[in-house]
Amino acid sequence: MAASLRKALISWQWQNCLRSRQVAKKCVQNQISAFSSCSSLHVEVQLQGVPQNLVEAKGETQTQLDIALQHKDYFGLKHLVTLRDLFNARVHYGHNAGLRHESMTPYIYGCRQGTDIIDLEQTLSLLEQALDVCAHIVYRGGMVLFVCRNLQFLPWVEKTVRELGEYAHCRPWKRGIFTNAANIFNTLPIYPELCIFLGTQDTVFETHRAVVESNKLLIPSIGILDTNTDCASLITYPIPGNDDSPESLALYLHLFKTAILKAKEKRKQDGIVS
Amino acid sequence: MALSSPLPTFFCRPNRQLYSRLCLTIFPALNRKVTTISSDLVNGGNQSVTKSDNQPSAKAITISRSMKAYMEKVKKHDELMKTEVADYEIGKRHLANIMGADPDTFTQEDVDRAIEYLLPNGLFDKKARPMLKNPYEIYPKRKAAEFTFEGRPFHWLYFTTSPNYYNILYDITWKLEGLKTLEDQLYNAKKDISSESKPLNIASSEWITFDQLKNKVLEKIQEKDYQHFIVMMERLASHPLASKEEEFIMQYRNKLHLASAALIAPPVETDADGRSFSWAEGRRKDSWAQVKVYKPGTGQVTINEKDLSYFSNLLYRETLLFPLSVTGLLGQVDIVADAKYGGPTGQAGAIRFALSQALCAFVSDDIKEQLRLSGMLTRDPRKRERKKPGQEGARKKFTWKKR
Repeated sequence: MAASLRKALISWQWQNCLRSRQVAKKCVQNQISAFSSCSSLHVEVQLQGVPQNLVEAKGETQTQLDIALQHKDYFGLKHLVTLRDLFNARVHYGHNAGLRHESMTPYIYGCRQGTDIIDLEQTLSLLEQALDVCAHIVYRGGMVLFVCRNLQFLPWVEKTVRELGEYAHCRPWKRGIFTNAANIFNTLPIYPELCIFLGTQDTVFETHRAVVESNKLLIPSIGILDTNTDCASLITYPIPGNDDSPESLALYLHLFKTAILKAKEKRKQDGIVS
Repeated sequence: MALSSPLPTFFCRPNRQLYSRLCLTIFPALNRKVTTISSDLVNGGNQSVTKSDNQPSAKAITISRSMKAYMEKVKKHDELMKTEVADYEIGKRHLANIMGADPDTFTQEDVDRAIEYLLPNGLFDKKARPMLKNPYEIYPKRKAAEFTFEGRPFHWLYFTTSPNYYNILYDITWKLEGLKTLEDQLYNAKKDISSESKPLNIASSEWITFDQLKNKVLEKIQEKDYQHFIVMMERLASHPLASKEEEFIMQYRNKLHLASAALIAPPVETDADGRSFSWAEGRRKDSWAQVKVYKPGTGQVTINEKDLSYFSNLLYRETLLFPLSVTGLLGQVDIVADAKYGGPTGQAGAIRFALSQALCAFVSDDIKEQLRLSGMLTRDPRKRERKKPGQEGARKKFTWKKR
């Protein structure tokens, strides 16, 4: 990696880093301990230290981003959805108890007539948090990739995403779209800043490759996890919920759409230009 | 978390709060946004870099690493093409001198002819023969930049690696959904679907080929993707309201060269009473027939000054009326036929052949093609086969017993 590139990476790191120096250090320590095997480049960049001139040169937009992140509910997404809405959209329906994956046990409220019922109270808080994260990432100019392999919902997901001006991948996943991007796209790789999985299964038997690949590249992910999901630990922001009903999918789509639109509107209001 | 994972324990979310914050803080660095360069890299101007300003300057453009790499690639490709084009021009002039022609007015057609003359080649595949062509025709076409200066892809399906192809599938899906909705509306309003739109006529065209689709989307797609495309297109085109989307469907169809277009239809003439008619002659076996078709008419049929009862067998009547049912002119034309020689089968066939030809004067090209496809415009060449000596008939042998 060229020196100039590394320098550029550092500059961007610190231009966008909103935490104070101490928190940043904490991040660095954590990252070194956690990712030392995964991302040598990243650790290298972190170890360079803080470029003094960049920390001092804080523009107005950076202050604005700072405020946004410190706010508890900057985009007004906290009461966007109620427990009743989730219930009406059948989010609580899990799979047959025999299909349950043990990693999903903490999110299961109980089992009724052989069907697992998801604990909607946990879903609600996790969903709100995920929406907030999604909105923040969009607010800061991030790209969002929606992934869904359910053929029944494919046209709806694609339509919504197209209207939003974000990105969709509901088609068969070519191996290495993230991990081998340079060769596949024949350019320097471009990655989304957030992956939203409206269902983490590729087929009924397999986990979607994008879950693994986004995890390898440290791309944050939001995932709707049904009770048979075996990749709960690979999703950054899990949302336990039914991923097979049109009603629940329509609800998720509506919520993410609202969050992204609100974030984009705020971005425009606050005059943040990329 | 009881799940065993090959990844570091950090991935098992020991502290979700921290991880979420961490992701927010690190995500820009993971990605593409890199550096602020003045626009002179793009335009070749002399604007200076404005780094010290607190406010981002209007002159400064953020260019991603990906964009920078792309621009370098394009520059390299352009240079290559420049030299290739120069080589081509020199080669062309050289060839003109060899052929003793004026190099300035030497066209591509002349080049092809000269190459064929100077380097005769019997290789079967034309692509394998020597050629001299403009480099832009030989080098594969390149896609334009697929992302903005900030590294944000233009296309919402960029990550699928075949955005143009999948966009076509997306369009087909939603157009079909639109037609289904319309169909439901018509059904609920108790309207007749056939009155709303005519069925789509795609007989005179065929789906674009695999290679054409590849050229259209400029992407590497597989044969199975093409099959998928065809299946979806067939589904759209077979919808009863498909003619509403005719423009879209026809983008993906090739016009067929109509074999019937080469056939010359007899002229439409006018008789003493002012009725327009056309006539034609036909033959089948030993029979000969001449048919006059009058339009407009009432469906009257005259054969040798008798009506349809000239043929007692229903099969013969059906035979000679078949072209009328293909063209949909049954009951709209009058027919006057003269038939000579042969038996009823031959006469009915001869009348049918003559009638089909005469009808061509009154129908559109598409229907003419349908007539041709149903075999109405082809002379039946079969004749009676002669009897052979030593045999009972043309093929039949005498009974033979060994003992």
